Amino acid sequence: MTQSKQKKILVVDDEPDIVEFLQALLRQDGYSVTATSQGEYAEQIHSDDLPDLILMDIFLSGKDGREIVRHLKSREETRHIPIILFSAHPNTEESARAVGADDFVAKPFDVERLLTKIAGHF
Amino acid sequence: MTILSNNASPDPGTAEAISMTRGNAAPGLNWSEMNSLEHFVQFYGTDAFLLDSLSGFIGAGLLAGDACIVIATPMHCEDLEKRLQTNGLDLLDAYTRDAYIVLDAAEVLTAFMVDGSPVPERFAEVVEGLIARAAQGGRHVRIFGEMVALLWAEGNRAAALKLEELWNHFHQKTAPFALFCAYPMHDFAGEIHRTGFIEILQQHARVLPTEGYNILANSEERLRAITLLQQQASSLQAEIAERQKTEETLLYLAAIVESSQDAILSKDLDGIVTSWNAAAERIYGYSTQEMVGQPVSLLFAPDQQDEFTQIMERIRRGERVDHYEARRVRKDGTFLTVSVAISPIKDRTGTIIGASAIAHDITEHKRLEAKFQQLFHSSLIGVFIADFAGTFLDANDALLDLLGYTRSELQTGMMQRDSLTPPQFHSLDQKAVQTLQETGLSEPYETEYLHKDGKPIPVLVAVTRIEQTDTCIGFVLDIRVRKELDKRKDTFISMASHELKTPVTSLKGFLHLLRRSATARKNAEELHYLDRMDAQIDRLTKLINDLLNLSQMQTGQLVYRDECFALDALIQESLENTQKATQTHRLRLDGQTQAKVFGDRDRIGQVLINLLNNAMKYSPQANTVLVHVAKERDEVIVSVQDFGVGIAKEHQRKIFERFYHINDPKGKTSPGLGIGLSISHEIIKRHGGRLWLKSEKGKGATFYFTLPLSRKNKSPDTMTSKGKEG
Repeated sequence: MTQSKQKKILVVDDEPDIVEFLQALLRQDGYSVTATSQGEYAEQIHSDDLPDLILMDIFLSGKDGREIVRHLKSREETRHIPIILFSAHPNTEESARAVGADDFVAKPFDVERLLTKIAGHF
Repeated sequence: MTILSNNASPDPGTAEAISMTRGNAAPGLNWSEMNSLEHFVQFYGTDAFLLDSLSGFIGAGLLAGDACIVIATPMHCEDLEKRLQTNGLDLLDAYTRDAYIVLDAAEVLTAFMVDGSPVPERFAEVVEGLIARAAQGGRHVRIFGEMVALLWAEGNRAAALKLEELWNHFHQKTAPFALFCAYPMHDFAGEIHRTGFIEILQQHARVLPTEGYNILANSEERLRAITLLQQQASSLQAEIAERQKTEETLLYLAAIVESSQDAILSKDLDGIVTSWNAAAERIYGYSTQEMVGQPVSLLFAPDQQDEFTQIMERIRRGERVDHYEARRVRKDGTFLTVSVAISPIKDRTGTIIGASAIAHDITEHKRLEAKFQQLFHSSLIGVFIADFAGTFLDANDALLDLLGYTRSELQTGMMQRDSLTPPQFHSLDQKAVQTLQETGLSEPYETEYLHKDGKPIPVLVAVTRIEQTDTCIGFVLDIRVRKELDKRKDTFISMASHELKTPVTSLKGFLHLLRRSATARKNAEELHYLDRMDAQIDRLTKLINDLLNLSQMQTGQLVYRDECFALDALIQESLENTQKATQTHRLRLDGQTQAKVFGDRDRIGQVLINLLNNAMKYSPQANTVLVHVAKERDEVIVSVQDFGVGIAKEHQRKIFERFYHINDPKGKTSPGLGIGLSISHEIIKRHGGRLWLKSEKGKGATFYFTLPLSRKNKSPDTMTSKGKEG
């Protein structure tokens, strides 16, 4: 995989361990990964540095991932970016899809399934 | 002729005089010409009349030189003798010549009656002897007999008729004699004697009616008399019919009174009880015998005697007393409450002669009313009575306190459902009123009421229609505390999910990275250990999920997705995944449904995996688990069969209860939280299916569950339990 063709994934989670694992996993699989624990960062992405996919936890400290999805999906320049939400909380999948998330994965991850889903968006 | 005293020749007028009777009372017959062959019967009203006839019959006989036998009561014998002697007959002479034989009828009867019936042979013997004595020298014989009348009077009608027959039989056989029977007419009074009377008439050649008829001298008068009698008979019949009808009406009314559940009694103007029905016996405890003739004031307590006096005064004035509530005393001294109505009773002339009272025992009713009032007012739960339009007509203190209103505010109509309820709940109220009108009660529903200060209060409301009215009684439960707890529980579930799952997610994630590395280095031993760790992490994940599911089920927050999926694929997938994680058992699938099922695919999969894991866990000695699927009419049926320890009958029902564990007799308790089957049961139930098992101790177990094929088969609430998100 060449640098130019490398897909960029933005990981948003306020758990450092999860961020570290996802970064390691996705890099091993050849993705370029940017990670943040700040929901605001995800909200503020703009056209000169857009990721190809966003992996985001729903419950971030001080921010609801679903609000961020709603915001990004309402913006012309970010609307097309696939967003996979994940959560450890029960009963969140429907609301995740309702706000426009393209996919949902429950925590703890079934890693193979997560990778399949990510690959499915490219 | 020597029969007359003084040996005087019979005066030609004597026989006539006798036959025509003295004082118009004798039968209009010529006794001297009485056919000797005749057997005739005389009915009489008074003894005087009988004696007129009898003295005519015997007197004329003696005068004619006939022999006469009189078998009668001693009184009749004596009176007859007096009459005959007054007529100048020399009875002493007749006695001595056996021309006048007098016998006591009762005594003669004893000579031939055996067991209340005349014995023909003995009768013949007695009568033959008498007639032989009388008929000496070829004399004609006249007999007067009252034995039949005696038998009839004592009620032995069969014997009387039998005796008449014997006389008739004898009459034809022996020397000719005239036989005179007499019955007092009053012995035939009553319709029941009709048949017997006719039979007696048939036994006689001639019948002489009672006095009234015989005095009529010519046939013209007799025809008139007959007509009159006919008229009397028909009017009597009409009268009888009328009385029967009246009697029936009275019986009917009496039956109504007797069968009434209310006490019905009557009293005269002095308050003395004159009638007392069965309900009165039951309600007051006095029997009819005890009460009739006693003052009705017995039922009044000593301090109520004034009430009694006032009532009697009103009755005497002809007023009626409408239903009023009164306290009374039973025979045993206990009090009761009755609702009484009293009306005067008047006789034909309109004079008030007493009063009737109808009393309904409302003791129980009063007791219930008091109980209800107590319940209504002392309840911790808010209670109201409202009309369907939404005006609160009454409310207890608990509700007034809850909503901050005073009783006077309630009474001035300030409490209206619509203003008490935040607008977003109005439709709920309207729905409740609608079901109330249709079914009489509404399911309890959660809504909010507004405190007078405007603060909303979450409440649970259940309403029941008060029968036959457009009002209802409502129960209001303050659920603020529960709502608060629910909120905390939601938060707890959220927190617990996060706190428990985050470390597991990390563990699993890094483990995955390690596995990749071990795989790359082809380190089999490491890989093996990592796989074991992964399996344990999965197990931990499952336990966490089960606990969370359970908490959510308790608060009705477990969300079910409603999707259409192919059942066979789900079963195949669940089986393969479970098979991958086990080395001990082979999971065999039998059958297919090709059915689409509606519901939450993941949750159904959860049930199946749970059943498969249980099957393996409880059959450690076996190596096979059989899964069978089939489509049956409108449902699919899935079974999971193991060949393990089985489940004893006593556990089979409880096994679906939360936290239930079967304790091994060896003291070994099976691992797990004891919640898997309870969750599975709940999930299947929510899908409109059933989950059950068949097992015997030591012979393995088979768990079955069904799922309906069509959406229509689901009960409407099966998929609607969507709570808040965590």
